[in-house]
Amino acid sequence: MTNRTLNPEPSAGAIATAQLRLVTLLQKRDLLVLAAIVVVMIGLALWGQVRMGPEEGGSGTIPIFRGLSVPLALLGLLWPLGVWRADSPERRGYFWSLPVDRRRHTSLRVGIGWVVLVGVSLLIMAAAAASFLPSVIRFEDLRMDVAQVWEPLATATLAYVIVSIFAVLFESPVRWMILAWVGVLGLYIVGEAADLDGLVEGVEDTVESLFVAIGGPVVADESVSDWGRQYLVWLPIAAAGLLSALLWRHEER
Amino acid sequence: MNIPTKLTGNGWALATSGLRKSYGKTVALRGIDLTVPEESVYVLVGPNGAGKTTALKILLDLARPDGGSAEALGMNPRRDGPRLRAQIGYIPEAQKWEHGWMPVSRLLAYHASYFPSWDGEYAARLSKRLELPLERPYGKLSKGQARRVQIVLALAHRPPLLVFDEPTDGLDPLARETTLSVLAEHIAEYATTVLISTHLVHETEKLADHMGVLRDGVLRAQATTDEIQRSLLRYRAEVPDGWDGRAVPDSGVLRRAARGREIEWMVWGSEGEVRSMLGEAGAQVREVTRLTLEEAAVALLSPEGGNHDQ
Amino acid sequence: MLISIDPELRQPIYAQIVDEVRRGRVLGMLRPGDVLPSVRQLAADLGINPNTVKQAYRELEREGLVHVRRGQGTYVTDSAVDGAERNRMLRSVAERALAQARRLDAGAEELIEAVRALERRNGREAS
Repeated sequence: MTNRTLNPEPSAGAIATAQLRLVTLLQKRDLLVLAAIVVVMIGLALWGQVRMGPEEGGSGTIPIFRGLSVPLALLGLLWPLGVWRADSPERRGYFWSLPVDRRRHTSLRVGIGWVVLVGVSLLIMAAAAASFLPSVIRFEDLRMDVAQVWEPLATATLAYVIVSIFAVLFESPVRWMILAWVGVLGLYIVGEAADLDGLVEGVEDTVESLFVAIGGPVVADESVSDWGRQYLVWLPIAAAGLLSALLWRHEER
Repeated sequence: MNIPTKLTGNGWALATSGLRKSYGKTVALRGIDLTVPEESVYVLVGPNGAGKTTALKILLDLARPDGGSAEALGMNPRRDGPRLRAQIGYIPEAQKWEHGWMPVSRLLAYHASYFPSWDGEYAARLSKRLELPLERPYGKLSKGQARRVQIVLALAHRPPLLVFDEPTDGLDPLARETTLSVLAEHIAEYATTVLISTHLVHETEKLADHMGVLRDGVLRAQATTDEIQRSLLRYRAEVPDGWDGRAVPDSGVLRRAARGREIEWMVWGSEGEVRSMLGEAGAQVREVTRLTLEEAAVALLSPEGGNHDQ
Repeated sequence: MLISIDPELRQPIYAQIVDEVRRGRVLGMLRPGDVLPSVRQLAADLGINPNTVKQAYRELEREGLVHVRRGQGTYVTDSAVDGAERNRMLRSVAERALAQARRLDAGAEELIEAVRALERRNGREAS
């Protein structure tokens, strides 16, 4: 055989850059729409505050970030649709024909999708916080509680990771979105019907004690809310699920 | 004389051994031994169907065989997938399977980031020559334009192995000629092994030096085009009235047509031997002509054609 | 000189190229010392496999009609273009004509007569 030097494979950096460009460019239009919505909401919030008289002011704390948990969770749920929209009709074509190990390639796409999601979430959170600044500045008794900054991020991440599991396993976005929703809904219904609470608590307690055993202080901290404790348990489990899905999907038999 | 189904030699750019693949109940490949020599232009012909495309997909690890093995450039498509795919310029059967929303120029740049050996200048020259609409989104192109983009994507990183599935499908005649011309220049310039799966044998005739005939998942014939066109000839002979033709042995006879007292055979064999065989059977050979590669392919694909000893 | 090949391809391409070069020599369009197009160039121009061009050049070199100088190109040799080469080409023309005539069950004599009749009709002296 001719001993001709082989053409090189692309470097990890080149692949990552290419995928990053792909994901962000792909989402350009959606991001603009999202930005428009955010701007409108901020505008409304600011306008509302400007119109408030001094006697309508308040006191207490605004759980500014906790309040964003649900919207950002929704964003995380829908995010994989955008991440994988580039590959149509199916991944088993161009994406797979590229000179990259498929597990790595898919993982990279999921990971980069997450990075962009976090970036966008942070921007939204910052915008939301900024929109309430006028009131906070005006009313001395009003405060913004920024302690739970990680809560919306964790919610969005958890949602993204769970849907990504299905996105990795199935190629058709319709299929995995339906399955993800059905799966989550089904789990909820089953959970309500059967007494899964006990089971869930059991799982959480086990994982917590593991954390404590390996010297993790976080979970023992009382200031962490119930929700927070659940994230710390379920996020690693979901991540493990995603990892398994990635490894299984492109197994080199 | 038997129609060859195996090439002799070693130093294959590509070799399969007993390659098998079925899709449910449909058998696409029944254990084929396809061998493509280095720096050759190998044309794989056969009816439109799963066999050819499946073989090509297995090389790209886009399909996994049920049995047998495949090796390209000394690498295993499964085990050495990424490294092998970096050496291959692939044109799939479908024209539109990349990111349709991307403008062509961006698609070229995206593809280039995956192939460090990408020659931007060459890509630009090819784009111009093939008149690619660089600003238009890939998904909005016509079949022919999309095909031409795929050609640039495959050639511009100068891979040692080109795997084309119906490369000129969907192109108008002028575009077809330009494409083949571009390909001819490419292989004249860079040492490349080319595997083309096509049902349009006619236009690849000038480039092909090897041909494999695949039908019903089996290689009916595999040889150099030289040997095929030397051995498969058309004999036109005159026969006496009431000649029953039973004296002509069946082996090697692919086609038979009769027009009154004139009968035409397509026979595989050395000219001298076939002439005497026909003469002994009572037929007076008037004319012996070479076949075009397409005619040969058609004959080898016909139900009687090809080597049936499997 | 422009080398062209028959798109119908009834004759192997390498043989066509060999014939073209022979014809060029016989007609004086290719003189000793002239450089033939490079393998790459001719293959690209004709849209053919470069191995076919190599085959043609090898055949020509074997017959002593060209000389391949590594790295410098393929040169037409100055072997005498005698009548033998011309006759050889003429013979293959005759072969083709005879083959066609045989299809009509006509022999050499009839063919020669038909050619002479054609010459007479064209108003030229039969030599």
